[in-house]
Amino acid sequence: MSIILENVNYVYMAKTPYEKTAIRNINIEIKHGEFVGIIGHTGSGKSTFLQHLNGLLKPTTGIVSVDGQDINHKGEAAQNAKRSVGMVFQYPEHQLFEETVYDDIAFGPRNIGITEDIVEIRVKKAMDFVGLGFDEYAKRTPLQLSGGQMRRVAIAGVIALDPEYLILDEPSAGLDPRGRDEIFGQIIKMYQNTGITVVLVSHNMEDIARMATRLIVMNDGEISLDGSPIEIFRDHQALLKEAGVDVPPLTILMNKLKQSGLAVDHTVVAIDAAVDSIMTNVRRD
Amino acid sequence: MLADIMLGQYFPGKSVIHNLDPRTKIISTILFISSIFLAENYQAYSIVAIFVGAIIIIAGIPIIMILRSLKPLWIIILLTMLIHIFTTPGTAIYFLGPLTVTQEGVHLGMLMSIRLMFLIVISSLLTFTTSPVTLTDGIERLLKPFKKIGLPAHELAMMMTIALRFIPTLLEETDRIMKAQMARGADFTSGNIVRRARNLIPLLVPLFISAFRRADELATAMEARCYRGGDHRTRMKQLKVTNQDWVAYGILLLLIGLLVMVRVNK
Repeated sequence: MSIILENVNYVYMAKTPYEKTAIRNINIEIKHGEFVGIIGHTGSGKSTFLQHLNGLLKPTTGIVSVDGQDINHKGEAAQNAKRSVGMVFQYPEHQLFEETVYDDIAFGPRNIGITEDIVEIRVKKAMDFVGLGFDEYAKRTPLQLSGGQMRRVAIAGVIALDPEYLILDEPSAGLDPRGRDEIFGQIIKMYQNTGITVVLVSHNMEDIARMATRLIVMNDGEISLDGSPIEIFRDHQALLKEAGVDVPPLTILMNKLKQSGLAVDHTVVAIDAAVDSIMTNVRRD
Repeated sequence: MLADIMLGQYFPGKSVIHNLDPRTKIISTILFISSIFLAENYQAYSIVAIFVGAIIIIAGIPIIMILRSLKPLWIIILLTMLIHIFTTPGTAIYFLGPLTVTQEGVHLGMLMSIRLMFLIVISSLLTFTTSPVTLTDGIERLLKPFKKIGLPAHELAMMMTIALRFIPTLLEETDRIMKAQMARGADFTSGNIVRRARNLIPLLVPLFISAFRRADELATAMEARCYRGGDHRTRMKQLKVTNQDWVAYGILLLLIGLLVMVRVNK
């Protein structure tokens, strides 16, 4: 059970003066149950990479398979494989169009031919996951909600499809810190409760460091680093710099403390753990 | 998908043709298009062809781009050709059921469709070598004299510039929303016409909402910077007619002269 990309290349606007290779030589396996964080600066190919995972873009060369099924083949099996990959785009609230929150979330399930009584169960479950009370919000117009609420409706619309893999492209972009914490809190909760595989793109290193079990760094269309966030932040700071991404401030602080002779644990990613580590060391001295 | 659509098809370059004043290019294109109608035989056509070919080479536009610009209109070209082939009276050379192919028809069909191709190629050369913004600048300047009779030249040009500016943005947005809805199982490609039209709702509603939002934001931004129409506005890039432009007009006049001569000496 995994998404496998083999030698995937993608070229935008081939054979015109605007031709650009967006991603090249991507070989990767995303295993079931992983929480994969993807970072890379603008134009590094993150979004192009994501769109290959559920067949929205067909690789110029190479193969993408989900659970052993090549998703760019024709036929029912490939269609089903694609459907097991749910995709939340950047600013997903821009895709809302229905008159009620309920109908918008039900759009996906209805499209794949699910009967109305099961649709209702799915919608309720999805709204529950994103923390929108069914009774309060189901009949409201999505366009009158706040930005954070609209985004949650949009995410619920993808969750209602009951995907095995959930892909999120910058789900916190443009939200205030509170909205961001809420969204991430719900994603983590869902990851822990359902065992869904999550692939998350974010600019915020701290979030990635805190949540992801595996980190992929993209640079200029290629995967430049792939490993656990702790290892990458600890061992590959030069490569990270080259890829144009920052190490989380906490890691920088802990590294500095370590260099200056304090025996702190510089692999911690959570603020609380960092405080503990510093305090124990300070007390010991 | 949509990203592959050519936008205003501007092909950046530094050739003489690219550097001509946009007004020169617009006027020359109009003159050229009218002068094509002077050409009535293969001799005149070869002169025109050499002229067009020379411009293509000087501008450095790959031939594949030229062919691509003809692609959307090939049906019209073909139809023009067929209509002429079958409807022109004259010496019959071939019978196809109730239809008669005449020698004159073939001749006229060829000339007409080639003429159409010249028209398309030369007007795409204008858009290939002139960036949309420069083009609207040129149009604004050319329309300026008509301001006296109440034509809002600046406003028209501003509208065009804004429209052009937002084509890529809206295309990108369309592409994104389309993909987002496809990821939720929307189907934009199958079913009958009613069904397809209905399937567009999940695309069009968000698109309109975002277009209105953008319009609102842009209007606010413009007002915040004290925009109030064309009066007393100065420009960063002043249009200037240089010697190059006069040479271009000279060459064009030469071409027209040649075409007139060929026609008179027939």
